[in-house]
Amino acid sequence: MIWDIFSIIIFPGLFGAIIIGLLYEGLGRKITARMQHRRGPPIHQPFFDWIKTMTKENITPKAGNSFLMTLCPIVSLAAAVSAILFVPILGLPAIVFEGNIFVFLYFLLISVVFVAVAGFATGSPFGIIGSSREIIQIISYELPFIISLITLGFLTGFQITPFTAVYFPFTIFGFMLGIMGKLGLPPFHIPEAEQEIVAGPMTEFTGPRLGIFQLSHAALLWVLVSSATVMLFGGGTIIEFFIKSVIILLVLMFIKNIFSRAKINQAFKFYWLVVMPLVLIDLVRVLTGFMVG
Amino acid sequence: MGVKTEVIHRLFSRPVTTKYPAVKADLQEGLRGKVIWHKKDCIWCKMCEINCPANAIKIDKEKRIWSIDSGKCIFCGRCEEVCPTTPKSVILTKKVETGTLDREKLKDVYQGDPLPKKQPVAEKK
Amino acid sequence: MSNFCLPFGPQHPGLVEPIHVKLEVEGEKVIGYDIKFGYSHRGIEKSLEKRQWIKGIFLAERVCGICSHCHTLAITQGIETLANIQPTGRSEYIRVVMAELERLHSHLLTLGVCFHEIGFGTIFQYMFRDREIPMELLELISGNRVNYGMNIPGGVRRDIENHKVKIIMQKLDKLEGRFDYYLKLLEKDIIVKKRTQNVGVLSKKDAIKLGATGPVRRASGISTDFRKTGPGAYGDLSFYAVTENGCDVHSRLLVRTKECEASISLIREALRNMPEGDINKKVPPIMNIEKGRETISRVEAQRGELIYYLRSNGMMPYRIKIKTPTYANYVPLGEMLKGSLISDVPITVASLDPCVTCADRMTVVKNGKEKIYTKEELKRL
Repeated sequence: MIWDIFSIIIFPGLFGAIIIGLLYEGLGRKITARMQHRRGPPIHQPFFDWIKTMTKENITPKAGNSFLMTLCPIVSLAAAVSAILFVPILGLPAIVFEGNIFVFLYFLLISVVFVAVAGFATGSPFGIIGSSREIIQIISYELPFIISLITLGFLTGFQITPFTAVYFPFTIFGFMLGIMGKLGLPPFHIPEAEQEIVAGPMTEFTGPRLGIFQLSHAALLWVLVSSATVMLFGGGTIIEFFIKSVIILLVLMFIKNIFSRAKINQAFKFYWLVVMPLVLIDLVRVLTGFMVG
Repeated sequence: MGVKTEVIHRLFSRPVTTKYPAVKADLQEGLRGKVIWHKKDCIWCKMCEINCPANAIKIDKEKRIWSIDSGKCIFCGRCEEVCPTTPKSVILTKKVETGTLDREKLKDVYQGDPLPKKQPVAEKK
Repeated sequence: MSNFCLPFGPQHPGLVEPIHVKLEVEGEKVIGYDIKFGYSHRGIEKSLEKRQWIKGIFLAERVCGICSHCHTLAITQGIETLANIQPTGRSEYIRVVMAELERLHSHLLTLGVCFHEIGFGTIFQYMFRDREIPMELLELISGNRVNYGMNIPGGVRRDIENHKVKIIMQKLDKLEGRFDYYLKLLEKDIIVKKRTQNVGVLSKKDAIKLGATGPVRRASGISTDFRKTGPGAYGDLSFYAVTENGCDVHSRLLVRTKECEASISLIREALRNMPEGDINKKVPPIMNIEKGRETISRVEAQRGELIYYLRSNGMMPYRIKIKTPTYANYVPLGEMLKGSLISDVPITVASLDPCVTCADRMTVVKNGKEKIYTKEELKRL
């Protein structure tokens, strides 16, 4: 019982997700800065940014819906944190039953869709364009992501357990591209295109509402990286688990720094014409039992 | 060497930025910084005041006050160029960190030597 | 889908300087536009009428921070023509070195900003690191990183000594290798090519009809460059104009990168062939020029052709009119924005290199006809 409460609130639940998520974000910024030949901020910088954001004023634009603008960040954070409870990390209790892979998927989807709803709720032109781009991006990456999860499900009995998927490279490819689309990492940092539409869905958010959105982004980063470590690379002891997570973070940052931004129609075409066939190959392999180890 | 290899190479090399202000900045020779005045060589010709494009130098010949407002100065160096004395009375130093919180502190007022007194006429005997 | 108005407005993280481009969008497509400027108007042309000639040079330099040397060059050449002064031989070569160094740092800034607009943060940081080399060289020669104050009627104010020449040559060798790297990136990277080819197209006919100038014109296949006529010391150096035929954003980036390489070889040639001699002639600090004389002075700035019109009134000018290249490029900008997507607007605006601070002039439009007001009419308004 006590371990259940620990698991929900401290680690890997609410506080663990927020603190480790913000640390991962700081580490990501430091690695990006070193790759760009400069020093970068200290690793604990996102904490200071969050504290500063929470002290600012809450402003609602005239055309915006105040209730929805307060509701969306909270739902987004809650959904992201709930999703990690289905993944068994380091032997801590998790909600495990057959078919929990789909509930995990569902919570992740809620977390991302409410960012788009928030953009529409503000009523500003930047928010509307950002939200429509976000929805198009969700339609693009979600199907390959689901198919790679189904492939993993067939191999593990539709239950999230530590599994090493090194013999199924296309599944790893589909999963990682799904992560890049969900988090908005380059080359798919399209909905929050700073140079074109100021900040996309988040343009009119200030103060505590924006602070909760920052926390939900950090929590999503933690959830996706640790579920990738467990489901694709079989997370082991504490040290192995964190080393594998940091390596996944390094790979994501490397891809972030060598590409520029794609246009939304180019991203759509890429996911449907390049990524889909590849993950389908792996699914067919598993279904027909061909070359399964 | 493309972008991909450069990015990996730079991850493991020293950053090119310096930790200013903990480390001193690397300034080139001949940098134009703050203006100062030496009272020893000045002949009070007022050429610097006439030629300043920003009207930053103000001279009061009777009270022998030479003042410059560093807030208006554009650090062009015309005052040093037109000063006729050797060595020059107005020179530009290399001091660049001159920020203050109070605008009045940017004005520098120098007090020069008083006018040389006329020699007293020899006393009539 | 309904239309709405998207302000690519004065304050925007994608813009370097304030300009208001109002876009009417339907989905992701742009169907209408309106360009308004004037946010950085400082009244410099009026202030120049109250200052003596040489003090005016320092004020004209501050019209723009990036193209400051071109403005002093233009106004100094104008004053030299009005007062019949011929600059010395050595100073003409030093002016060429300063102009080409300024071209280097300005083109690197433009290229970095263009890559930032398409979301490629890494190349932006690398270009700004490489830009430090021309900035250090400019500080070595003139004492300041911007607003150099080098030109004066009759010559230049500071000399390039021999030990400085050696340092300049060493650092230019380091910089030359970087441009091969950037050219390879522009020609080979797939996503960069997909974002910049066939975007912001300005055909050759439109470029001539609408009066585009500078690299924008040279990227549409027309080889126009004022430096070809050999002003100053350019006549003795082997100069060639860089032209491309693509008419789109990709060609403009290529033109600027290749012009940087040409600048490096021009600087080397100028430093090797510099004649000995004085750096300026003795000119009285308060110049008095005959009333009523007027002249036009032309300079090839980094963004195009810069023109100064001067008219004398004794110790001060009667009127100085400035025509900057960005002002002339605003009309082709409208042509380029027609029919593009929202994602293409920032890169189109950035590729024509707007130096908005240079271009804030005032024109009074009455009854649909444009008219430039003289000093008396403005006083009456």
